[in-house]
Amino acid sequence: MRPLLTFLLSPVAALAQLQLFVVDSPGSERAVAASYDLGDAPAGDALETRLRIRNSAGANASLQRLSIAGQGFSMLGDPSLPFLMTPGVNVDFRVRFRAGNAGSYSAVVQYNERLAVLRATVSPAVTLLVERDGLLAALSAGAIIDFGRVERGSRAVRHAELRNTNGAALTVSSLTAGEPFQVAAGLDLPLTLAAGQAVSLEISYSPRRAGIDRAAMRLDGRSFALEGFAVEPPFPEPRIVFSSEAVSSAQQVRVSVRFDEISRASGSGTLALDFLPLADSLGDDPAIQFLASGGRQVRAVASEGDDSVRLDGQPETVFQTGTTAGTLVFTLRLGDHTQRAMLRVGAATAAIDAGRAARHPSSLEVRLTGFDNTRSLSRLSFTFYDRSGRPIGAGPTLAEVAEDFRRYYQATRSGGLFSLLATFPVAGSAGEVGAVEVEMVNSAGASPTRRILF
Amino acid sequence: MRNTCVLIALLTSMTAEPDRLDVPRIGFWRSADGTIRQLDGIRGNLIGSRVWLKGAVSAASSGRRTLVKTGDSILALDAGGEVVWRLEAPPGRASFAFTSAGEPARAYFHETSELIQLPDGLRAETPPDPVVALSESAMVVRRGESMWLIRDDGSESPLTGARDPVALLPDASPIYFDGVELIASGRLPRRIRLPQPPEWIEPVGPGWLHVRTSTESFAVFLGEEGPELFGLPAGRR
Repeated sequence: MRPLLTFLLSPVAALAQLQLFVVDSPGSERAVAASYDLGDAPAGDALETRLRIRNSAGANASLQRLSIAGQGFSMLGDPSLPFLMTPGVNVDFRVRFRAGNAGSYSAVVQYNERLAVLRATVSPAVTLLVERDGLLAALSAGAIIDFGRVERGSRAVRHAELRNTNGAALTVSSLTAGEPFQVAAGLDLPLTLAAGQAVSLEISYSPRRAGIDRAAMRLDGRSFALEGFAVEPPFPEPRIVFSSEAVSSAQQVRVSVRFDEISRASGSGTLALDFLPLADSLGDDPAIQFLASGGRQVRAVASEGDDSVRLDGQPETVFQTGTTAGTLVFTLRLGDHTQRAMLRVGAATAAIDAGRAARHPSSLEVRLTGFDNTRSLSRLSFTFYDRSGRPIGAGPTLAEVAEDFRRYYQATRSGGLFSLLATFPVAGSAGEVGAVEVEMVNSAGASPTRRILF
Repeated sequence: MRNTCVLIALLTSMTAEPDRLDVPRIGFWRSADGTIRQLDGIRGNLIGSRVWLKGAVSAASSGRRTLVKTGDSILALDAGGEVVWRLEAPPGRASFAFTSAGEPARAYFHETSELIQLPDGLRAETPPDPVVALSESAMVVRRGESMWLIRDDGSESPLTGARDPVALLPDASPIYFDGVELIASGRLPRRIRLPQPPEWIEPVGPGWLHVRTSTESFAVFLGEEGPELFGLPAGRR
């Protein structure tokens, strides 16, 4: 070999304008005199070296030729030729070496008329092949095995193979992967592979939290990069469930949110309550609210393993239907889901929640509390009875109250609620009056009569 | 026919007097953070978020008057929430009693075991046993592990199974927890199950009680058909 090298390098002395360097690291370079040893690589792995050509002369030079010749060697990032180099200018490129069989390898780099010899050695090693798109592909040390997007809590598997392509048996002593990746489960190490023998294995990724995961897989002295991106699994389909679907005004109703299956996801969202009055003129009703929050929204939280969503920390929460006719719209936002459910509160006749009647020496007082969810009360009817239950007078006493209630509802913001005090002057003995029956008329009709005792 | 002697006429304009048509007012209640809130509404439709006072350690409302115990005073509010009088008081919790007309009658200070008349603040004879609850004419005292209802006429009767807290209605009917249910004692005892044991019971208006558990506030309506339980708006406070 030495006589050949002497022959190859003899023209260099005549043309010392361009010089070859190897760049070990940024800012560190060494001149390559006649040859350079790239080092040792396991079979199938790549060695990559950065080389530099510099114009060391005081005049311009043109790089006319740059090539590499040798089995397993290739050049990357080399410049387009010809390349004009002013004095002191560098041009960098990379040389990559990879060979599948053990042995010594060399190549000749030619830059213009100058030559340099590059050497590399390949030691026998097991080849790692990893499946991608249904095909097994050999990987070099440092290669990335990317699992892509994987749901937290699930397990993604890449099929792989260790193959001995060498002519003699090889032993694999160590094969490990950092969490949350796993490899070689069930593989009995150390493992000796005869020439041409292969063994299958699985590389898996089991993320336990959302985010990017990176770890190294080590195969004896070689390292491969493992990468995965864990995403939260989707929530199962949620359903908004009411303790009663048939609701009316002045009710407190329970609502819960259930999943069709056990949730694999954890996260939070909101359950919102909106109100659409039957008519725009009715406006809003402040009593329509979730009692827990005193507002129109509660926090919705679900954890992995739950079969329902916790609303404001509880399995269910209570809301009021208010005293205005309209539609209650519930909107659950949880993960990618937006679920809506509606409850209709129909227009109803006015209702009395409580009634009290009192006698005074010259008058009677009737106090009624209740609601009119149409806010259209127009007439009240009072029928008085004596102590023995016989009606007093020729018929009911009527009061046309449409204007009074219209003004009242315009001035208040309490839905259809009202408290009414009606006073009746009495001529004669008020003590003879035993009861009063009240009927109220609104746009939905006449309410059932309510008898109130004095 | 006597009924022909009774002539009834309707006041034709109810709005001639502004208080004839109004929002139903129940009274006031004390939330767990010591805030006094107005409570309006009816059964199943309560509105109770308006704040009137803070720093209350006890409260009771007849609807007509509300008594609030702060760190060093008793405040009396009218039905509109305005302070009508104030009285210096020893520290700690207090229990209050109203007359049947809803006016303040007396107060008991638990830390100092003092009983006073209201609204003048004159000290009354203090019973030898710790008072748990009081009305205008009776009180509930603790004797060892048991509770006793003592009326001003001298009669005494045990409240079998009663545990703290206990409340007395203006007619001296006791409301208490027996470890499982809230019992409204009367001619026909009525029961209602609570989701959790109560920590305190305070009257919030005619026929209404505030029952506070460790996590939530409820309004109990004492109607003819027995007690009914409702959630209070923002009752987790």
